[in-house]
Amino acid sequence: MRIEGFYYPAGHSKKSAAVLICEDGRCTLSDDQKVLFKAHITDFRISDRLGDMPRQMRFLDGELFETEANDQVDALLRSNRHHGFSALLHRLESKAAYILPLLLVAGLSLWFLYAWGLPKAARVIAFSLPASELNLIGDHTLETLDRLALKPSQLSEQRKQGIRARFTGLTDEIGSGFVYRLHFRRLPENAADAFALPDGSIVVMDGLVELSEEPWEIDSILLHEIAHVEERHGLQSVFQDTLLTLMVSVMLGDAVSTAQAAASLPILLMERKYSQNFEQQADDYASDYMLTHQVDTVHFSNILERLEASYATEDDKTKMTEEREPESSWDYFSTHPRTKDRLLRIREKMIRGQWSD
Amino acid sequence: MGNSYKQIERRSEQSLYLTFIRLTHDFLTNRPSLPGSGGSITLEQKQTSIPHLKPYPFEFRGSGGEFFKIWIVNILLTVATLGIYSAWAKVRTTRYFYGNTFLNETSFEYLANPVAILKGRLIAVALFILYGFLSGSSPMLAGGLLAIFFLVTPYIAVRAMRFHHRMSAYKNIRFDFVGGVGDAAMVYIVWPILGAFSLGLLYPVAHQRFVKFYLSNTRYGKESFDVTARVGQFYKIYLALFAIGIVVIGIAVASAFTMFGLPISRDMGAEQMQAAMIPMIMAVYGAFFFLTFLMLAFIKSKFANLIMNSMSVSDRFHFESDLSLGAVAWILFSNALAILFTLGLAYPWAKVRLAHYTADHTMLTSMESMDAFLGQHVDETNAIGEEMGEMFDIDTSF
Repeated sequence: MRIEGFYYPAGHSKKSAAVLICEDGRCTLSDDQKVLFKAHITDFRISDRLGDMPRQMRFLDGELFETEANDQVDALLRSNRHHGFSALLHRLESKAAYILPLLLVAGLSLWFLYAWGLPKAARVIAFSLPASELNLIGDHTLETLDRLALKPSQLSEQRKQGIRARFTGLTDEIGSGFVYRLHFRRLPENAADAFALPDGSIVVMDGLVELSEEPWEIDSILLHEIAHVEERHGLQSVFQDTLLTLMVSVMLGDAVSTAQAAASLPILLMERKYSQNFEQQADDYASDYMLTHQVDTVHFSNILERLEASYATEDDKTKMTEEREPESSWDYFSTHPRTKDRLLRIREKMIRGQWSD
Repeated sequence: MGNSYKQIERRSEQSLYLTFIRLTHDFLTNRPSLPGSGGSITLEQKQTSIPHLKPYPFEFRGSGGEFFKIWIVNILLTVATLGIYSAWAKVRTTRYFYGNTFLNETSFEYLANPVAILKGRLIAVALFILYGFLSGSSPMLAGGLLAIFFLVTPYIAVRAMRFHHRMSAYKNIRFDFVGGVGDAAMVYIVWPILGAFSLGLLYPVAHQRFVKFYLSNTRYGKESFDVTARVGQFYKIYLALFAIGIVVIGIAVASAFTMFGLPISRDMGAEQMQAAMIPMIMAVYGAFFFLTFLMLAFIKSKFANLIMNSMSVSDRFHFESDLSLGAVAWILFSNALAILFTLGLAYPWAKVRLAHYTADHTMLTSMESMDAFLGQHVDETNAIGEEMGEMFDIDTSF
């Protein structure tokens, strides 16, 4: 076999035309005057084929033969060595007929990774931490929040004691490795809210307590927050977001800044979807608990509905009864699922729960 | 917020880094030019004495379609191997862009062994997860890890540059990087800190010092690179960038004011209010999107031109770059839109398109014969640190 190309001496940039002739694996490289060197095909380090780029054949002491005759080099490799992985890669990369199936498989596996793989991996990592580790974060976070946004609670001691007693009842029964602590705080304008920190600190705002009309209403919200702690949602979301960013940057390779910038919005949307899933899980946890304790989940729905109403403006309240816009593009940006969907799910769970009884 | 801003900032720096990494390695030719020439020429002479200079334009021969297939196989195998193949994907992608960049009918080469890159990546991912882990449980320890990482950055960066340069070749001669850890500490730690403490006033100096450090320590065989761009020239570009920033903020403020003029009244419901605001928010987002690319393009084109036009090899070979702000802005902006609306599928095409433009607007000029470059023996197996080299390729980008 005869392959035309260029020869470079070791450690020198001088380029000259040369011809490589191979017979049964024994190769001779020569220019138009003399033989440059003789070597066996296995003594060359031959670069993998990639598109139609020039191919480099390096000899042990640094001499280089470069050729654009890719097909001939492939044929040479086939007849003298096993047809390796790189040849398979080139087949995949060059056949037009493979594009559509590859695209489909790649798309499906990416979707699978996003919807199942990453959350699963984040969960495994989050649960591999001992619960005691998580206690480290607690007080500092609450201290910071106290300094920035939260005010002391103005609830009566009696009211607090009542809620605390029921809360202890709940956490004693759930009895996990977490040390639960209940804190009462007040938000500016007495807004209604509650949140959980990864170490088991649960913070309830006065506004929420004042919205409730029935003890189980507060309990259902507390259960929702306990679920966030038990399921380690805070930690999971840190890992999910980290892995997601990692995945996108690996996919884009050494991406130019444009692609990165273009990817930032989709990444945000994907993270929001994860967050909505966690809220749904926490809702399920709370309503499951209530169902197993023969408590009507309507209390949960009631407080959620009142929460939603408390966020709406005065004018909105008059329109509450009217048909609401079914779809809004804001849903994709929200960290929580729509209240309507949450209520529907709780109600469905209750109906299913009653049937299974 | 602070975090994402940092990322954006880092990315713009990265794009600059990529630009001139590409341009730096895409270089040199071997055609004998006019006889009897020799010695050095200055920049001024170069601009006036065109007859004696021979231009060697860069040329990019890759195609979007060809790269698309390579890219999609990369993604598929990376997913199938849970990221292991990403090291091979990186090598294939870099090889594709180097191997299709031609100068004087000869292409560049990227010779890295994927296994070395894989080792570095595994360490990086482990540290990344450890950090996520710590920031979830103990912010103190996470901060400590960051501080340690910050302190060893110069060492890692020097190793990474050395790895990258030694794996890059042209005409059977390899590049090399000879910068020391001490100098790296100056440009990676001391100058950026001074830049921050001076509220950015010294940042252009930090940038210039970095460029100088990077290029004056770059070797091609026995030849040395150098760059003569002065601090004042960096200040000029940053000043203009600052002015653009002011305009962006002005637009934001103005649009906030026009929002008051929108048909929103107190008796509208929340949904209606949102409906009225969505077009406005879209418009503002669109404007920011476009201005982001204008600024990116400004950074990319102005710095590439400044650095390339004052860069030389052994003072005998010079570069010319004439990237235009408008063209680069249009390419970056339309690329991003194309990527967004094809759900990422246009990415290979976009990347190839930018490479074409950059190569078409860059050339090498020299009066001298370049037939006799000699290689320096480069020890390829000088391991441990080299493998860490690719570990945090982000952090080698200024």
